[in-house]
Amino acid sequence: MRHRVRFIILGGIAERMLGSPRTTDDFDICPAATRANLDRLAAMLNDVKALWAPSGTEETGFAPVESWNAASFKAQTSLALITAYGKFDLWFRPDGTTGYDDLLEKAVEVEVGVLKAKVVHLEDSMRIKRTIGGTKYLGHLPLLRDLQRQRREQGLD
Amino acid sequence: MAAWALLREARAQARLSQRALAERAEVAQSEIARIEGGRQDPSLTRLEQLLRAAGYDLKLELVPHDDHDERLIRQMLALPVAERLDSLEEQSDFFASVREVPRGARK
Repeated sequence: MRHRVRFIILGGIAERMLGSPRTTDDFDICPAATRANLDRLAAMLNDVKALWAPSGTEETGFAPVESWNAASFKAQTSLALITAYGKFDLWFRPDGTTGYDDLLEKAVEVEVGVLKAKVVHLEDSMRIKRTIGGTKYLGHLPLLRDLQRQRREQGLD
Repeated sequence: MAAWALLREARAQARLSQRALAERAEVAQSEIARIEGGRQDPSLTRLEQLLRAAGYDLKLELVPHDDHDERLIRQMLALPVAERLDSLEEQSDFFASVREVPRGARK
């Protein structure tokens, strides 16, 4: 927040914030892809000493060759990172979407204490998971549909 | 079990590709891909047709509704967002603290 990075929270944390009982152990975001925002994102990653953690190195990761900068994200659709605060995944273009602006349309604003954050709408969450496919993600859909139904019944969506 | 999961399981058990199953069932391979990808919900009749082509019959029975997930969702929605995250942190801390007792030490 201090770095004023614009992003939308995705994945398990987003679903949890919207009321899903499912647990998760990583934090996924879709950052806005403007140069200025990517610069701010890079500054934040340098601040928290984020390590790149590609498949197979999830527990240790390794530092980028040079400090994080906007060019670090060039041509990436996603980046898996670890920080002192845990696993942190950046999704520049989540599957089935065109990225931040696409998700921003329906994003839900939530408040956590004094902080405000944008969270991916359940419909978009399900769109992403349907596109990824596979047993794991398709298996999440029934719970998300139940959650969506209850949220609508309570006038939350 | 969802239709996509049933179809995928039946096809896997029958060791059929989507194309092979489509030919047997006389449907388009793209339809099977959409169903297994969760993008299309087949009618019950269609599902039975596809499963039969894979060599399976569909047996349906009434069972009491399991509302476990619905109850958990209701509980979660009753909490402020901050508490939903706090409880996730508590759960993570709890599971991180779990240690298995070595077999020899078990009573």
